[in-house]
Amino acid sequence: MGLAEETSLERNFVWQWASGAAVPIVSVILAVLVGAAVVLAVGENPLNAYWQLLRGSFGSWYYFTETVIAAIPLMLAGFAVAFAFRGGLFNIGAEGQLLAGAVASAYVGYKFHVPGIVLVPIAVLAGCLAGALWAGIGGVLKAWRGAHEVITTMMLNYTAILVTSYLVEPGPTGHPGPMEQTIQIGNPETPPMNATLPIIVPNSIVLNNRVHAGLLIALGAGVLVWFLLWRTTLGYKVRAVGLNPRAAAYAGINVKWTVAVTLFISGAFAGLAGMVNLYGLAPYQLTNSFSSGYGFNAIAVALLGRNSVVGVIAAAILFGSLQQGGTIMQANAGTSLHLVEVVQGLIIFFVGADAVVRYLAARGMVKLPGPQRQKAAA
Amino acid sequence: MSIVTASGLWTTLFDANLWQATLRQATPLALAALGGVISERSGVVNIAMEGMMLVGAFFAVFYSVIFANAAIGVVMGMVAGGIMALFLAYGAIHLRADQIVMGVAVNLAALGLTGYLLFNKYGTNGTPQSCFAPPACQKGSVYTIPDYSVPLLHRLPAVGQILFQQSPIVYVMLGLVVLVHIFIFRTTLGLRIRAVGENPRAADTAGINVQAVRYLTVTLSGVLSGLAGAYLSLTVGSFSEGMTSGRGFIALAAMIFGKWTPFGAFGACMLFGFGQALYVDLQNTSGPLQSYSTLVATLPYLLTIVALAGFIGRAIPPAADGQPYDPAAAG
Repeated sequence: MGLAEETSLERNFVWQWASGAAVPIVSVILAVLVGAAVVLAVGENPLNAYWQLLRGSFGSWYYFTETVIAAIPLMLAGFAVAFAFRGGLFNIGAEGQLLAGAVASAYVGYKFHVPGIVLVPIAVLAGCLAGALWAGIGGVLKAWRGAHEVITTMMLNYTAILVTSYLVEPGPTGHPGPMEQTIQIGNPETPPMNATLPIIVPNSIVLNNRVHAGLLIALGAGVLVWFLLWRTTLGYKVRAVGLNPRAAAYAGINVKWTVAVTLFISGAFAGLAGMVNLYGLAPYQLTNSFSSGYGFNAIAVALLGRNSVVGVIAAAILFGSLQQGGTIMQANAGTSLHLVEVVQGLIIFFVGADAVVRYLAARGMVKLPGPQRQKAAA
Repeated sequence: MSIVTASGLWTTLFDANLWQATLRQATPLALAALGGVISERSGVVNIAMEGMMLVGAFFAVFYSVIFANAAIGVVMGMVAGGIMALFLAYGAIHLRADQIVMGVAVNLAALGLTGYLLFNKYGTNGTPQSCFAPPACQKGSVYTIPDYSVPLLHRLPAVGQILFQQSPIVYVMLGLVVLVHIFIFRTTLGLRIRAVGENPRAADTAGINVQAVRYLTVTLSGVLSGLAGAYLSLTVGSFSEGMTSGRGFIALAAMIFGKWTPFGAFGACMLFGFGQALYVDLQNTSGPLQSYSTLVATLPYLLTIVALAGFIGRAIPPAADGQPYDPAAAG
């Protein structure tokens, strides 16, 4: 206590920032340690596994660009979940919204024969709108029918996965799904996308890198999220409802409308994640396994990033590195990529139950300045 | 819809195989959903049934191989599900963390853990060969649960095949529906569970140990999900990555659709099980309906949304569902 009183304003700021980052950082360390125990328990070498994971994610410029690529959809979907959290809503359905965005933008991509400079913005809008509408179902039902958004958005996840599957998958007789774009790679009957996102890092800097303009879109979206939340009336309403819906209603805010709009906007970012991954990565094709759980990992990213834009970006890069490094780890150390999921699950556990970290702090094992928030998610 | 298509569907509906398959599909859903009812009645939202089913499915196979015995496999699957549930319980009850967040964590960790162990223990070839009984079973095969035909009754026309030629776990599930109903609505402990789920503060004041009751219900839920997983893996005799493929969430949906009651949840599971059986059936038939089979599979999810929105009778959760309880906080 005495220490806090004598700190200067500047130190206070650093202190505050550190207190915000302490729980996530300690949580990641704990998760990595428990993950190591699992690896050790089954008789593998955790040091070698983690070394390969680190090397595979940050060990070379090329690996680093792959980490960034993996982080792009996580950032966007992470913004989606974080934005909803700010409004006091748990959007567990980013996965479904991401797929909705991918389907809509795929349709635009092969049906519209216009120059890329026109097509890409249309695809962005289509992806955002599809994601927003998919999430909006949950928002409207929450606002006017009282249906819990966790359950509705979760159910809409599986609905989206199945509908996408219906659209892209050829049936057992080989009859193609309704979306021609998705018949198969290399099949001349498969119409190509009429535009894709360009690679933004020159080949002369990192050979064969695949960093696409989706990174700029994601960072731009980050600025937009920050601006929306902290510089607009709408953002103020969203945060007010998130902190205390009753007080917000008393202050004259239309809570129902705000709840619906919050999920609508949240879904737009998730839909954008789908569009960006479809247009950014070869072979630019919507397949059944299009999303490898980005929407679910986005929940972890938002929690770990404490719903702040900078935090989400940092958490997305961490999760991107786990994904990318995990692939190299499996190839070089023979440790299954699934270890990454275990570590991710543990990270969510420790961040969500930051009581574990607070327990360690109470015993002087971790330093935690300032009052800690009780829960990661309201 | 053409007449041919219509009559095709019509004959399918009178096929005893379809109804036998319905009960088979409904069994893992109902087992997990019953656990979900118990857990949520005490105020703990359990979205981690998917993960608990997965570890149940994996360890059932794992121990069935080690002990060369399907029954031990099933028991160990239940134990594994219960242990996984303890993580949820510790986070959600003891640490009072957000129950949904803890559920997401358990699901992801379970998916990772089972995938990791599958690769570590069995390599890329997957789990060993399955078998039913010793002549075919060699050392290291997966002992699978054989169907059990109830004497005499199984000979009844149609009904015999549907109800009395099933896996023993199907019979267990049917019994559990009744038992869980009695447990929740006719026993003292059941009353306590409901009290804790409706108003933990009042229950605490009345001398009920809220934390202990919730630990019990979450663990029971894990054990039942583990049984559901064991049923899945030891009926086909193998484990594959993510083999529950969303059944834990369908069970959650069924629990809500069944309005947090055992019989309601069972009814919903039969409906969803019918959808799944029909889906499998349609996939194997050729014709215009086949291409829509995937869409049929969305029905459980859509129906649950409709039910939650109150369009077919409102589904209202227990009052304290999802709220951590702090005994030390001033009420």
